[in-house]
Amino acid sequence: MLLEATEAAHSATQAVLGLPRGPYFKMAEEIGGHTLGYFMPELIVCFTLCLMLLVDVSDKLRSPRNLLSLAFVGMLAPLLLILGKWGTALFIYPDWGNLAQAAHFFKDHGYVEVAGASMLAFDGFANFFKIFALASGLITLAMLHYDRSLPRKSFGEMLTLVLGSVLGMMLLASSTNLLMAYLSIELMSLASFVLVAFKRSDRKGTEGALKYMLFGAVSSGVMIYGISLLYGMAGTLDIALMGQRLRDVNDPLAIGLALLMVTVGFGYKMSIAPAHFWAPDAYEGAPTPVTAFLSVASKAAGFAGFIRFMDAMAFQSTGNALPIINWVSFVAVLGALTMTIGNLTALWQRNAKRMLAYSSIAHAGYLLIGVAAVAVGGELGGDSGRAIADMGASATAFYMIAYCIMNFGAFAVVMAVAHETGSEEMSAFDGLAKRNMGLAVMMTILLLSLVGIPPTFGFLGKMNLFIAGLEAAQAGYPIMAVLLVVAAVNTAISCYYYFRFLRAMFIAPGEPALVSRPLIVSNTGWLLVGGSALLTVGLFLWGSLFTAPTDEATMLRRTPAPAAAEAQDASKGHAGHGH
Amino acid sequence: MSATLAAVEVAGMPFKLGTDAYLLLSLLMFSLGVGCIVSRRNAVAILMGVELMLNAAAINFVAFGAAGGGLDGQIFAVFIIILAAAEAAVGLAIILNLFGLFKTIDVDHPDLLKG
Repeated sequence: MLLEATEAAHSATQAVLGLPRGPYFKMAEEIGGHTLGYFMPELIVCFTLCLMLLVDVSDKLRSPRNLLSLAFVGMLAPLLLILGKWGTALFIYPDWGNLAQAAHFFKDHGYVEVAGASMLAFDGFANFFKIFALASGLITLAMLHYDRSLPRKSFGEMLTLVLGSVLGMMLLASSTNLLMAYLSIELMSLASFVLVAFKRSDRKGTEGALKYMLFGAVSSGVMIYGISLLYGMAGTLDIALMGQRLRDVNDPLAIGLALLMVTVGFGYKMSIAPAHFWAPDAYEGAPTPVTAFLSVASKAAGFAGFIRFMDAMAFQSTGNALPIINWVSFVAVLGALTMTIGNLTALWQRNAKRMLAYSSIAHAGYLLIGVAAVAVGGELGGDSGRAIADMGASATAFYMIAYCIMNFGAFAVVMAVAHETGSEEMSAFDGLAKRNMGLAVMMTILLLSLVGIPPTFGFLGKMNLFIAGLEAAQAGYPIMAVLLVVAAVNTAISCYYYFRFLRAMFIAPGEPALVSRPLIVSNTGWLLVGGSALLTVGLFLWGSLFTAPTDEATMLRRTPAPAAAEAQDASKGHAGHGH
Repeated sequence: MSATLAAVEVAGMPFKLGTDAYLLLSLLMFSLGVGCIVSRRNAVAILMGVELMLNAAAINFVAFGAAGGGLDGQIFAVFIIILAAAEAAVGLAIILNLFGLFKTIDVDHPDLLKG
């Protein structure tokens, strides 16, 4: 009985991992007769969005409680659905370091047909980022519930916009077609412009939204012009086919320019330098839950879109390739620039949200290490290239989980402090330890995680990124080593401004009148802050105590000589962990 | 399919307009859009510049589609028109709200957010 169950689960995993038409996929087709089943999570979100608009019209039903429950169910159901489909990989390999690799990011896409065209891929990569978007959406719901400064009357509109944005992120994660990718980016952008401007009487929010909107409109205009040029040269909008056909186009300047223009659009969403100028303003002006949502989910979706796009373009660059853009150097330089600018500017910020905004720009830079490793894998080609690309993508995904938890937690602390003091400035943190020791300790854990210091999940995430970078550097890319050195220096710099919080909380005396009054945090606040702090430590313990041996075997793999690698790859086949 | 898009007669001679002509037009529009964005400080003028950029891309899509790219290009152009309208709606709403709060739509004027 148990054996049978295990075997069934294993064959399902096999299908998810490797075989394009394994039992799992066949099953899905037999049940539905078509591939619409794959699209069910998005359909549920879409349906909930429409329902939300209807419920919001009815005076009887539109209590914040009802609306929140509806949004909660509307995001939890698709989350469970994806986990149910993809979950077998989770149970067979309960190994977080390898979770993303277990899903085998870029292998064998299951496609859904939209109007006869394959526009959406359903691979582990897409599923991961969908789960990510939905989970961040759910946390955002809790934060919206917690934020007392938001107008309760227009809760329905706010939740509708969050749902719309999440839908855009889910679609972007799977889109393999530039039309689809562009539409998804616009869907999430338009919704988030309004979210930033949501407090209509708030001057800061409106100013931030204006800058966000103008930057967004310009970058989307540049991106679409780039897409039109690529379409003209390749005659298709499908990114994989486009990558193949562009090899035959002998016009490096035009291709390079077009690719650069498309990258501007993704770079804006990822908030990487030099397309980051909107981020601090929009993040500071927006309501805090929206800030957290944008800095985590929106950024992750941008990375998902960019990695997929670059993977398709870079993987064709083996052989007689697209010589104009050297993706590895390009991404590595962008990464170094982004983390340095983010960290250096964060040093002299006085506003806590603005400081965290710059910190989120810096984190986008760290995430680019993983993306650069994907590019290295793409250039190398072959099985060993695939392995490095998968490693880079999984490290990026892994760091995103860590970043999601610690960033939401840190913003929740800022909210808790702002509720009591009415201020989001750094000075509001003065003497916090005397007012609420628990909150100060939680914040300390989250900050340690943001820096990447051991007893936290952030450390594991950063370690994975560095390992992927090191692997790529060993494959003969010295620029990756340079990037890692820059990242290490940046981590040291970031200590300074993160520890300014610590100094304010534990050492600064604070105003006597304020300090004597304890700072009260509501249950939702504790759930958010405590939950993220505990997860940060708990996942570190789980990750380092229970999965260290497998990490050793797969994550710290030394690159063997090419001949040995080939022999090894041949003998291993494509089952198992993916190497 | 040939690369010619339209055939007209100029002074009795067949004159064929190739894809290049459309590309040139779209490049001109795109440059005008960028110029508008860079030089104007008025938020609505910047949105108009963006509109020019989007429509330049739409011309490209239609031209390339007609020159042998299939229907994809035309479909994309339709989506661009819809998106431009949506973007203008959201953008103008934000600008209107900005005007209510700051009594200006000059993008340099609101400067509460700095650092």
